[in-house]
Amino acid sequence: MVEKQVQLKEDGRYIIFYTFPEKKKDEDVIPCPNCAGTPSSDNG
Amino acid sequence: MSELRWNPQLRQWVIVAAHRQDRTYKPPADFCPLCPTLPGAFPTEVPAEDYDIVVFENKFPSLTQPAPPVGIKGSELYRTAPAEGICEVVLYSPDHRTTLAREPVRRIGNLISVWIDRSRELGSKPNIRYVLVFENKGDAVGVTLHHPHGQIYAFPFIPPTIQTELDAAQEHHSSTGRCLYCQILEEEARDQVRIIAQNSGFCAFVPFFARYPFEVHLYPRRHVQYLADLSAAEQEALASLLKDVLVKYDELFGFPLPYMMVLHQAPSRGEYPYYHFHIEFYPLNRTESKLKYLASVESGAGTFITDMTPEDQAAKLRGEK
Repeated sequence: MVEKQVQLKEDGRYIIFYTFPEKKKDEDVIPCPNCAGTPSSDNG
Repeated sequence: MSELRWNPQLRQWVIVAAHRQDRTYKPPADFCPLCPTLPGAFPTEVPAEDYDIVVFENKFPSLTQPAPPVGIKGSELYRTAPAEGICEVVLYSPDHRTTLAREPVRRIGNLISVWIDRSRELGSKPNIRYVLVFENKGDAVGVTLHHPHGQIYAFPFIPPTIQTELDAAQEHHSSTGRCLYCQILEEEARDQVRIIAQNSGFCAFVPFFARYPFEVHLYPRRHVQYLADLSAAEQEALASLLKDVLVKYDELFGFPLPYMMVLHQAPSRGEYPYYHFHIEFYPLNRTESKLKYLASVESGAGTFITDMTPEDQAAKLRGEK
């Protein structure tokens, strides 16, 4: 679940911090369909 | 501070925001106001040593809530109105040097959920009729701060480009019983030549009627009016395709391509079942070193002239030419 924290700055403007749960490193790695089993980063 | 003035010739509002003339302009990287505030260093817009994604009210807003009184006396012809609205800045990352194209799909997905949250919240506020999510990237587009960020404008009126699209979509639906955008998707799927990337949820293509060089539109395959209507799987598909398009842009000339990215959603209030949410990209580079200028014919007549066929542009973006 995303965590949303709203604060007020000194001049009265709001600022919202969205914090997302970090996924395990291997969750960002998807199997490459061209090389069975070899992982490929989702960074293209 | 700001006010709206009605242009009776073009029947659209102009935002007069004279205070923005003095806004922060291209500060050195060491004094970036959008970086985290480090211990002992100057205070930035973000009072934290680190962050994930941050949204804050623009220091130099074009629209404010509540809006100040209009500073000039209008007339029946020269209508004026308070510049009521909200302008937010969305920081994509604490890393000053990154771009959206370099971020993992996961972070782009997180950004989409922030866009959805802000669209819902801003769209529910009084006097807000339209929420526009957008990004201006690169010197060519006139950005004043290079830290990776986008913006959100919550308007008190429906902006004219969106209104034109709404009118066209409604008229098309009335006369054919079909969604204009779904039909465009079908035409692109039939022709294939302008599609640059696609997946199960979205299709990215240079439109048949592209106005800007390497203009790309991203349409969801499902007929939805709002970003918030997308399922979790569709949001993942959008994040993945956005990444794909952004990487293609950066590979086109071998440098981060300047662009304007604009999310086109239905207005915040009312029913618009005939409209179709989509995203439009407008780059300005027609070559590595030459820019497309909106000169007399574009600015004065509203007619765009493109120097390259959309089919050739799509082939270049696919890396074929």
